[in-house]
Amino acid sequence: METFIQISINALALGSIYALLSLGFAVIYNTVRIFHVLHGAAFLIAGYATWWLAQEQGWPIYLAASTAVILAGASGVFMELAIYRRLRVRGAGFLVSFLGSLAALFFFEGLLLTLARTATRLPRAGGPLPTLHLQSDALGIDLFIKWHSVYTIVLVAILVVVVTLFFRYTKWGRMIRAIASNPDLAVAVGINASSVYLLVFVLGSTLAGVGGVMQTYEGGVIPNVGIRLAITAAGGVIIGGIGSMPGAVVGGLALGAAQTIASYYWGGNWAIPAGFMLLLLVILFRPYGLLGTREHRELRRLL
Amino acid sequence: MPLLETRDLLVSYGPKQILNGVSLGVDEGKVTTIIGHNGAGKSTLIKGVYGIARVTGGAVVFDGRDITNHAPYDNIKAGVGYLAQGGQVFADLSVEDNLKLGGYALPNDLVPERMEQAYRMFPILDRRRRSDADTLSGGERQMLALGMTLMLKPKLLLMDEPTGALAGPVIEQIMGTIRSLVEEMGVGILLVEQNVDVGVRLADAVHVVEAGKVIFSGDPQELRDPEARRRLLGLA
Ligand SMILES: Nc1ncnc2c1ncn2[C@@H]1O[C@H](COP(=O)(O)OP(=O)(O)OP(=O)(O)O)[C@@H](O)[C@H]1O
Ligand SMILES: [Mg+2]
Repeated sequence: METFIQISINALALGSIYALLSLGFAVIYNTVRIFHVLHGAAFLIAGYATWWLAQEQGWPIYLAASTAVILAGASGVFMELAIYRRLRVRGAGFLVSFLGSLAALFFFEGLLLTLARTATRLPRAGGPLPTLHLQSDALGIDLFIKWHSVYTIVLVAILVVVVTLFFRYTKWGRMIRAIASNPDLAVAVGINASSVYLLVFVLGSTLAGVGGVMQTYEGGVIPNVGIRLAITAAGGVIIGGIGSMPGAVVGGLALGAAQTIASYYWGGNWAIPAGFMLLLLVILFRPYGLLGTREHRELRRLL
Repeated sequence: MPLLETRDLLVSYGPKQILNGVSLGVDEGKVTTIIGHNGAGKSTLIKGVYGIARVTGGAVVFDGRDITNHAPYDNIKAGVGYLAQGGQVFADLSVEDNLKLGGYALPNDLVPERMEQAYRMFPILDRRRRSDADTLSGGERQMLALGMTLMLKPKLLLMDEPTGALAGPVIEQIMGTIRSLVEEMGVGILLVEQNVDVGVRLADAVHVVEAGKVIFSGDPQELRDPEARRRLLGLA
């Protein structure tokens, strides 16, 4: 029982961060239809900004974290305007856009390596994080839960609800869904696709930024996690079902669970292989993803 | 002065010239029908007028104003409505959201009232407000697409095969809607029709387009008779 609760909480905490990354990836992919691996850069920007502002500049952690999230969101504007819009105007296809995205991400990782070195950067003094001690003789429970895990899970849950409500009930949300559903018709009813794309990049990058801040606060950040997290984000989307936003969240959680369980029973080195094994199994045996439906054929065909 | 006039319209997709100088007009409260084979450039003509396909030469004049290459948003504001070919809707959005999006360019406070009007015009949509549009039948979809366009109360309506792929009573209903728009509200309509019979019955003027050019213009009276149609158009 104790082990089960402990693993569940760890899985939820890690899965929440992946869920945010996947949700951000899905929002962008469903709308703009690019395989946005540069998504990993938004995570890195948030992570490094938190570290630099909090540790090097001495900002209070909440101020550093909020600024980092805003910077990540703003990086979305830059990605769209400086890279993807140019590619689009030149009629770049799916593969060229993907390569452009990958090149930009590797450039950015390289830049970070030069500027910040390979060291793991932690935005707080080292040492263990404060924990919540849960003890009940009646239930036979004696658990230590990181407060940070609790915050992460709650924050992500709130964000998922907010994003869902935004999509469902706001005019902007409806505009994004319209472009995702039928881009030609969206343009015909007068929607300006360019401004919707911009919004979508800000939204997706902000979500990745929150993930970056939460993850970095606990375990620090290094340059080359960008690509792995980008593929993890895409993996969550595929596991959950391309085209489905709840699917993206579920997929992210599933990846977190797979990694946590594997590292608990077989050791930390198994986390990453287990996550990608799950992705492979879903691709092989349930290509629509866990929540995907046939409606989203169109989106899947692009991948 | 016609409500809409195209003057020597040229449109190309990349190096491929699609429209080779199309000139025609639509009057207020009248229907101008375009007929032509698949790939003749009928949709391209409508898209060029509406600002979706880039016009490379000639002019589009609406209500006395040059609107060549104006964006759809501005055209909607000016009073131009567009019904795309093939019952285009937002498939994974609800009927209600589809109508709201149809009225995207409207001031927000007009939307609820216009939605109710659309529901009154197409009661079938009223019963399906919360359903996703992809659960509608082909005919219902076309009603929704038309309802979305009519949210805007256009002065000019560009309709790309409104009866395409439909059959029976739905065609009659759509023809009825078109007639009432024209007769009661004075809407001018540029109508593309594969269904020559429907197109001719509704028309005040008919143009036949072939390879991006108008090859025949005439009075629909002359085309009522299928024999004459075959002779004049090579079309059944
Ligand atoms: N986006 C595009 N890019 C390149 N070529 C296009 C594009 N859209 C249409 N075409 C080409 O332009 C020509 C005219 O197409 P258009 O859609 O206007 O024909 P149409 O008369 O409406 O035919 P249909 O009756 O089948 O609807 C066709 O040869 C078509 O292949
Ligand atoms: Mg056509």
